[in-house]
Amino acid sequence: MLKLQEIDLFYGAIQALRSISFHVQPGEIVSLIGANGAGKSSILNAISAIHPISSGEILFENHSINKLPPFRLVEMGLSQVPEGRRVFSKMSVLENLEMGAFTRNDSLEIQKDMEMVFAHFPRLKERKKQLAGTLSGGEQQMLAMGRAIMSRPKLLMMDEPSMGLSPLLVQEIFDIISEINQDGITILLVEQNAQMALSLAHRAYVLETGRIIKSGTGQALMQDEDVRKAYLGG
Amino acid sequence: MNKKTKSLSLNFLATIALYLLIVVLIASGAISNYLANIIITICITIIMTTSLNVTTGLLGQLALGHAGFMAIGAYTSALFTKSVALDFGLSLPLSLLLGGLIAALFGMLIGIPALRLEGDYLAIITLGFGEIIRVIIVNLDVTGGPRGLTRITRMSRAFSEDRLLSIIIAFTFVFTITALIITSIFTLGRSRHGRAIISIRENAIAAEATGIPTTRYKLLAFTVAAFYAGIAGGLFAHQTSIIEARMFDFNKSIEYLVMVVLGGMGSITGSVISSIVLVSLPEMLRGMDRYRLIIYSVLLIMMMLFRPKGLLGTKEFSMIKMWERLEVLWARIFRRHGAQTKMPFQPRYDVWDDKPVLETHNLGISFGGLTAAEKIDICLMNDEIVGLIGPNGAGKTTVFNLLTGVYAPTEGQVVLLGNPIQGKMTHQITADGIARTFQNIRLFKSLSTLDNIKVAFHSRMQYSPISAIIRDNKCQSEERGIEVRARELLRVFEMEAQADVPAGSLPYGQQRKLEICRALASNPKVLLLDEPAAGMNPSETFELMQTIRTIRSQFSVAILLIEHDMKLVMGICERIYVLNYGRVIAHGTPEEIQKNKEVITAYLGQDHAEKETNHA
Amino acid sequence: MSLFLNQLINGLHVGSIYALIALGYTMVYGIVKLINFAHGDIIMVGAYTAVIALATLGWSAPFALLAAIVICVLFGVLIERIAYKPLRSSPRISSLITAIGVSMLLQNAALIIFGAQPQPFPTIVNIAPIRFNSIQISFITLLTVSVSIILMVTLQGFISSSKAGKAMRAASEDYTTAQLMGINVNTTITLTFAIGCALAGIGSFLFCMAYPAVSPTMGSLPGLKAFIAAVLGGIGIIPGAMLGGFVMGVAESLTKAYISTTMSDAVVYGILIIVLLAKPTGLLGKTTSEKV
Repeated sequence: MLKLQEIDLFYGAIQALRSISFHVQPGEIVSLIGANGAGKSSILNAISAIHPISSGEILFENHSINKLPPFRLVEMGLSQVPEGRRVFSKMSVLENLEMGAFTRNDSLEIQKDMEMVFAHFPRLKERKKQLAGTLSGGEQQMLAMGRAIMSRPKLLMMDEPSMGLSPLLVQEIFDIISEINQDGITILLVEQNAQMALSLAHRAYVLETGRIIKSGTGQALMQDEDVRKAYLGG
Repeated sequence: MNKKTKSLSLNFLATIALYLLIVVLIASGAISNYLANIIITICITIIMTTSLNVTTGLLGQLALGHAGFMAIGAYTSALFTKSVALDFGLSLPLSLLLGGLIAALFGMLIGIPALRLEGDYLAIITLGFGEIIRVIIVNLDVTGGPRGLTRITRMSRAFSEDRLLSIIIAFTFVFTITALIITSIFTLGRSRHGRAIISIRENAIAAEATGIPTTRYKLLAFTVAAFYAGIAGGLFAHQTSIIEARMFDFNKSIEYLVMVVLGGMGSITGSVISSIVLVSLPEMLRGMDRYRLIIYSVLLIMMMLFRPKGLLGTKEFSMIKMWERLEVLWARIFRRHGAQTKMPFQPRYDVWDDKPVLETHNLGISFGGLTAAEKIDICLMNDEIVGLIGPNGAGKTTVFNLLTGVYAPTEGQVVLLGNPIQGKMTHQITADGIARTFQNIRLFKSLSTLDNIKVAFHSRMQYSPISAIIRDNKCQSEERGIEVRARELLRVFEMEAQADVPAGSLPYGQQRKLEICRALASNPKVLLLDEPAAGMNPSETFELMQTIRTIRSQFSVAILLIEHDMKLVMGICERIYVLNYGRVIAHGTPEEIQKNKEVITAYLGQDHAEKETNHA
Repeated sequence: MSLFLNQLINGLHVGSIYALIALGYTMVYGIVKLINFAHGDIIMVGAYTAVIALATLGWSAPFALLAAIVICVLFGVLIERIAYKPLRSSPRISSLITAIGVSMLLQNAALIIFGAQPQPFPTIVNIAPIRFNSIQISFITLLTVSVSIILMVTLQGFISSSKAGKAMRAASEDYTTAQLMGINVNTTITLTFAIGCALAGIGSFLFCMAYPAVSPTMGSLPGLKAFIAAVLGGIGIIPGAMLGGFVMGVAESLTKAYISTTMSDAVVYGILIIVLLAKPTGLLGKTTSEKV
């Protein structure tokens, strides 16, 4: 479904990604784990065309998407939940969700999807008229996820959904990610919480200083000696 | 003679040489009177732009009314020399000083809104003040109303009977003042006061939390800028001999602003260069009068499109080096008796063994009827590591904000080392001994790692702005002291190698570390860490745990930390407070907390509890 | 009393023109956080367009108005694309200086093309003013005030409920995330400039009907005042711009009548300073303190 071939990416003179290649199959949850600054978010920003790549090729459903502007990618079914939630804080919960469906024009279906989002996140329904800025961190994370789902993505990319959330909420968010996946949405997950990410993911890639150094199934990586030491704390 | 002093003398000589060259050229007639006047105009412009750079570049506040201060200086000084029967050689410097002081007074007045307003709103206020000054001048009788003041004594004629000699004296006078002002802005900018001002530009909240009285420094910046602009105004009045209010309107202010931005905001040398270029450019284009301003505006647009940060950005043209040289020279002049290296502080806390270092009684705050925290009773013993956990939105950061004076509590008390501190300003509390880090890192990004720490020593230093400008013994010994201290701190955190790297370009983990390091620089008794492990993986978190333990033993501080990472919290905290809905719902050792039913349902979750039991 | 009422009406008239121009400032500021100093000069562009259309080409008023709007929009969009867009990720002050440069360029180009001599704006409507005893309201005043109010209400509706309007609000909060929603931020910004400049086009027409002299620098003063009106009301807020415009207009005209003509600017700035000190984000602005 998604295929990256030898991606290089620079921030000014600093090379953030070095020859990154990996792929995501339809229906999978694929996770990218690694230390801070390893380049996990850079990969998502490269795919979403927020930051241009300097070489390599990105294929989505066998089309090259390197040169497409970000909004075209959303139309094609690629959606991202950005790091730190980034909800539109001066807009209501409802309007935030509408923004998620910006590329769509089928208002009846949008309505249906809205109900579907509310089914996943009942707390958002209670607060739909409230300004997003007044929500708590956990609720904002839910809103950001709901907003991304509203574009009816084929591939949903999530950047650190558990960041700054309490253990209870982290569990809840990961349960919902699993539900969303079972609804048929493919997921590419960037996570600091390697424990959670690996136990959820079908497959995962380990990044270090802009390179992929390991890959395998979530289970296999959890057993891997190096991974255990570096990312699982034991 | 070593290399440093050699190049220093070169620089000093270069300035003298430039001066002598111009004097010789004037004397020989190679520079006409007209041209000499333009050179004087350039000097005045340089004073205006470098002083504007203090507010706009160093403090980072857009000021759109700088010409207003110039007007005040111009009118004050012109009225003074017109009305006082003193020798011109005496009355002119006096009038300049007076003009500067009155302008400074207005600058302080205009600085007051700066305490409440920021960014574009402040810019508009300065614009408004500038225009009000102009309108008032037009409506006063003493200022000659709309006709302005005429027949002000001309510097270029009044110093001597001999026309040429008079111009040379006038030039010498203006050149010297300009050189002194530039130097003073440099010395001030590189002192603790300058660092304080720059830290406000970088991150006002962090500045306050590291012990900078931000309001006072905003005022200082506005006052200094206005003082120099007033002097420039006085020189201008005695150069042109006619002044009218409309010479100092909004467009004039904009003109200076353009020069500052083109030179690079925050770069004093940039301002100097762009003043020279932009004053001479229109003169050079005089031949094509009709298209002059078009060419000028196109150049302006192009310049911005291709060099959006201005000619030099915030950099100085080899100025850091030149600065060091200057410092050495200064040291030679002033340090006859040899200044000592004065350590900024000695450990100043008595042993505080059995009493709590920090405690709160019934602490609470409500915002417009909504209670964010209430009945908080927390205590920290000496050298203790205590955790503060709870669901998102439970009020953990609110508690930090209450402890550090970001919010004034609506009820209850905070007692630090036996003294109540609630209601104090953040920077005072920092000086009293509470330091903190932030959830979303707040460093002074464009300052070097070393300077980030130096800023935090502010409250432990004493030398005055005047000491800073003349670089006296007190200033030098203190500066040397904190240099040593700051490097020592960096060594403890194994960050010496990064001392000169801008903090913003450090990797994430190091930024977190630097923030803690900066907090320690203010010599706190209590350290508050807000989610120090956020965004760290287990191995980094493990390293952080070591660091926190080291801090406790080496710096003898009590640590209160907010964290979601239970491994860290359970691993290093001796006691834990659990917050929910703004109240403490549980308090105890990690073992007690993990078994607490209420905490499990509100925060930890059943899974976690099970996992922990399995581990055990 | 009648002097007061007449001055009040005068103030509303001027104020609604300020308000129309202020809308452009406020919209542009809201989305790109740029004080578009060239906005005042767009009025000058519109005014010259209208004069040429009316006097030289002999077009009827509606067509001249249309021409003014089209040319203003064209200029606005071009300026945005050429001068502001490349600077979008640069420090904000750089685009501010560029805007000043564009303003100087427009003024001086007009000076070369049309000369410094003000050109008269032809009289378009000649309808007798409406009188109530000693109070008179001219037709132009009625027209100006009502056009402004209608435009503001429409604009407010557009921004709060249309899809493009919501996209503007989303982009004004966060470009990157707006892009991740599939919003074409470039188009959205262009649209914002276009609407702002269309309003300036209408504003220029109304301005010239009140003050029928067209000159290269005619735009800077109303531009500056409109900008201040926008700040007074709370920049980025549509009804704020309107309110700010009216307050400015009325304050100015009352000062001129009762205190002094030359002091009116000082009074206006004084009001601005007092308002901002009491309410740092303007009359209708919401106070947002940075979260620590």
